[in-house]
Amino acid sequence: MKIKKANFKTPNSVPQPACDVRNSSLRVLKFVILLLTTIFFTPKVIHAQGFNLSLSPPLLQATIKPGKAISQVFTIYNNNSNPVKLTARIVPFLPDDLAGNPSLKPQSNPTWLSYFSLANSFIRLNQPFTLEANSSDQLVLSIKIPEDSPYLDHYATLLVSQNLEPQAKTSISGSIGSNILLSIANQAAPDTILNITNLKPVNTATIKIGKTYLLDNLTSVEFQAHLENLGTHLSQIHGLFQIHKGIDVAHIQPLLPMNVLAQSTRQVIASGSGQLKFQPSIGNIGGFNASLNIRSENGSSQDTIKLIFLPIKAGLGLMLGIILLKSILNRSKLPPK
Amino acid sequence: MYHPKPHQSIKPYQTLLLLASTLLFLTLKVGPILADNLRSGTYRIDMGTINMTGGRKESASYNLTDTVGQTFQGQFDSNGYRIRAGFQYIHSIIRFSFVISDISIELGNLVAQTPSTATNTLTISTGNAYGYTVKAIENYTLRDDTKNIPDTVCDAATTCTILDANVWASNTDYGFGYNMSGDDVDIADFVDSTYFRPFANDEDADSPATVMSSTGIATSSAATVTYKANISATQPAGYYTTAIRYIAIPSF
Repeated sequence: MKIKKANFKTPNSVPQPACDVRNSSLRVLKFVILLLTTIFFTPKVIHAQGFNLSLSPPLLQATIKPGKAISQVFTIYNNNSNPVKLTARIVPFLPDDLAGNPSLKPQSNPTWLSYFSLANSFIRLNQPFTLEANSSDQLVLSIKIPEDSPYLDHYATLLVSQNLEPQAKTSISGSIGSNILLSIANQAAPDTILNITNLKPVNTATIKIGKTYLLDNLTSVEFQAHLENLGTHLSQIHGLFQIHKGIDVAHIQPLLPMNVLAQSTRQVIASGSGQLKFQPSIGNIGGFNASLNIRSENGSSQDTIKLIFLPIKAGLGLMLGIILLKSILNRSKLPPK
Repeated sequence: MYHPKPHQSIKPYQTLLLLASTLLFLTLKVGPILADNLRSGTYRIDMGTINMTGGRKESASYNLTDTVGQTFQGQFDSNGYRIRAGFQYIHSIIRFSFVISDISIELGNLVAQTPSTATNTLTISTGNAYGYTVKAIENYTLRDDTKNIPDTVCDAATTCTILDANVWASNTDYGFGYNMSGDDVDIADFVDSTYFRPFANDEDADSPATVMSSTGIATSSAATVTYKANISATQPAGYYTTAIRYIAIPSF
């Protein structure tokens, strides 16, 4: 049983101010010492052995003339409390989907991989190096284009992989990448051919007649569009999505700038929300145009579809209301039994 | 006779002030200020080109987003190159990062017809990249020397593949597979915790399979991987292991 020491106070005792001040100072001192101890001697969180890497920048787009060379610094960070053994390599990729994700081709070994090397003194491509705990290192990627190199694009990922250590358990390793979009050309923005396809309303009830869509004017409409790059060089596009009636613009949305690689297709997405979306108002009745204008330094494309907004829901509601009203009126006209 | 006045002693608030100042001094560290220097003990630049960095510059008189090295045609003609690093339209100090919570998986002693599971977590921050994918592949099936535990095909009535998860709930269907749950997981495929896939297998020349993806910016998106192994009574005893690789790549 724990007994607390009683704190006796004698109301009639003689006050001792100097002593009180000293006591309270001691209390404050004790409190601060306790606080300092808590701050400086709190056990640090120790993480289980894991993988924690960062790589910057996540994208490099370079247009280079044959015979020229550049270098770009990539910084790799080991955010873990253990050193990690890594290997950096260049892996070719092809566009994988409409969202701009790469499909790595590690088995592929094209001759243009020899354009890439690391200018670091101690780190080489395809050779292991150690990155100390909670530290970073710079990978100075050098790209040298031979004089006789054809005017083409090459796409690759700088992949930094953790080396698997032999161990008794099932081992997990991680890799982190940064994409490199390389255009070999004799001009800053080599020509390409862009083509918008599949501009149409989606996830909305529509009636399609030719290139005209009948839509309800109280329901929001989501649109989809794809952009094909039929050329041999990538295009960094931007543009606008508009709903308009003649020169009156009812809706305008900027597009998210994106890289459309040569001979590939990407889904067009809006800046911000990501969706090309129009919420018509009750006054939006009749014919409208949905236009997509895409521009880049080396190409452009434009497409328009016709939309007819009709008060379908409002009309149905009105009809239902009239029917209900009529039936009520008819009932009220019946002679009482 | 001299009586010392109480207010001439150290007052509590003075002590507190003094100690608070000490505390502040001790806790505020003055870190080194490093200039952006291209020299280091670990690398050299041996060509007359440049280091490119994208960025945002602001002052009272201007607000400019640029990518150093972004040149006009004339400059391209004279320099012979143009470089854009990073995504110009996304400004973030967060780097593209990939975290795996645990890099060794212990499924314990496998007992016939008693599934064994283990988990770890994958976490992604895209930083100034717009979208990403995380893909997974195993080097080989669970193996002990020449003995293998095959990759799961899920329940006999609901077969799964490396790209298509399905129900694996029966204790009499054997193999090794994984389930995904959490952020940026395809929940139309991994419907619930009973849905599994076998890993893509490097030995079968499979391409790595996507396990997490997003078409936008991700900030600490985390998904849990549940590894599951189930063996038959005829499976030879042994210590079975494999190596699984996760690859995190930003979108372009």
